[in-house]
Amino acid sequence: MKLDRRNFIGTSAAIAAAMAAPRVMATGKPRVVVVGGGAGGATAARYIAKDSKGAIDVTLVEPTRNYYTCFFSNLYIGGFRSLDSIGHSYGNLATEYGINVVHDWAVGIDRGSKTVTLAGGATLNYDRLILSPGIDFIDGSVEGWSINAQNKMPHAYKAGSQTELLKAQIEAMPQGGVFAMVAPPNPYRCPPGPYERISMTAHLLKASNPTAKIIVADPKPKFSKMGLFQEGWGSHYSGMIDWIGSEFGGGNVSVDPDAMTVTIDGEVTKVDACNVIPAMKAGRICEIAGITEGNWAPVSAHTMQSRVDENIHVLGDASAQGDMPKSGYSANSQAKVAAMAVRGALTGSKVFPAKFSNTCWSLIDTNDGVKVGATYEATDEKIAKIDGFVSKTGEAADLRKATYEESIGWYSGITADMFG
Amino acid sequence: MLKYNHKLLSERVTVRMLKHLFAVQTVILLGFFPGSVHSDEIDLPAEILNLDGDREYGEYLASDCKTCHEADGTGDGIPNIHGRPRIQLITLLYAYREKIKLNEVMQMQAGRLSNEEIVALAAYFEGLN
Repeated sequence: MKLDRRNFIGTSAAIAAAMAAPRVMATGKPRVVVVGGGAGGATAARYIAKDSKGAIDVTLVEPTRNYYTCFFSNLYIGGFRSLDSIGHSYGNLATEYGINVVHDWAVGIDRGSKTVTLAGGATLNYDRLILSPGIDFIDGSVEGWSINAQNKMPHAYKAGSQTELLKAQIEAMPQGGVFAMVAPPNPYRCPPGPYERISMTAHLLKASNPTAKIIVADPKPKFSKMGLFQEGWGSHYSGMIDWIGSEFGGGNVSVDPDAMTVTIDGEVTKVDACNVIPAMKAGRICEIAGITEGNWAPVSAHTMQSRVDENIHVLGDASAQGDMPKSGYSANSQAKVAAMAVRGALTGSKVFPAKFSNTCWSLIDTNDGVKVGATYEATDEKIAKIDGFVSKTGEAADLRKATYEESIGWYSGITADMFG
Repeated sequence: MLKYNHKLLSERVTVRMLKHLFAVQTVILLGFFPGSVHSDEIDLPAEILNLDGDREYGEYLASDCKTCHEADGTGDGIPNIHGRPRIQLITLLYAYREKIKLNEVMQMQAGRLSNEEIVALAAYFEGLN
């Protein structure tokens, strides 16, 4: 066949149409894949599915069938919550919201072909990808500790079996035994988390093992709600907790999980239980996607889109966004902004200016709750803090009780907002 | 039940009227919304009562509220705000914004709301069952 211009155009068009056909047929609806079913991912999946009313095909990839929230997992250690009460299934997201929930690990991302590969071998196509994988640990950040030692010295910073293990080890301590925590450097998931955990551990030990000691080796000179925690430790757990900040060598620490020793600034201590919370980075899938700079994935504050790839949004702990702390509440707040942006891009729905907020409640002892919170706005540079508050030292007992009760309401609210 | 006749209200409602108004409101509200009011001197601008709320915008703003306030009305320690009369919600949000009513989270959340946003939220939540 002679290839004149007319034929050439026709043939090219036909080839193009043939090549495009399977894709067009498969993409009757725009597709969103969400990786990670925590406070960021579950919320984003639910809001996109709910508000697009079926116009967007949403797939949520999450390895666990029963998700344990990191927030309130310290209250399980303290005996204020059961493990069951912080576990959630994805049943409602599938049945009520039509989300395709896939229990698998995302192991590969091809940004060129816009596909996600799962450990089970399946490949998912996306128009927009939302990554909300939470954190992973930086190898070698605590000398002597690796992920292989997590059963002897649990991190318990991804909730579930690790939290259960840590609580069991605290409960098994001999009378007058020693519990040590290696606290993480900034930035990390849940800034008040380690110190609420110390409070809850002290609460547990005070009842069953009142002569036990708690040592905290901290690479930081100060920490979130420090004045509030230290006031509470003094009034509720006097003489039990020894916090060693960076000025006193708290950052010069190594552990020996086999010998169960912790060495702080050259001084070796035999411990009966040890919680090592290593330095953190974005969940590994962000590195695999090639969207990290340093340890985190930078995003635009307006939409939570990756600075590297506008078809990817990154939520929660994994993102480098500016002023918001890495918390479940932050991730939930960011997810709503991302969901709105994704719907706007894929269906043309109305997009309002991004607004964010966060509050972190912590429990120090029975009915002694404290909180810190802030509101944020999007600037071209970052998510920028507008206004904030923190509980005050010396507050009345009834206010502290109301703050704790408020946190219970928040837990119930945010988990309903995530899981439907 | 107190009736509002917005046409009778001048640009600013007088403190005296509002003391009366808010005293009634407070009795109604405190039953649902625990937390003390540290002043009964409310100076609620009349224009806020005359605004029409944009429910679509209210729905977007409300996503922030729903982190804590559950849609099904349950939740210990945090009140149900779904389906509440618009005037209750406007008064409450205004009182939090002006730091007349106490609660740091609510003062912070309301602190960044304009009159239009308060009314948009109230219109949206009133319309929920």
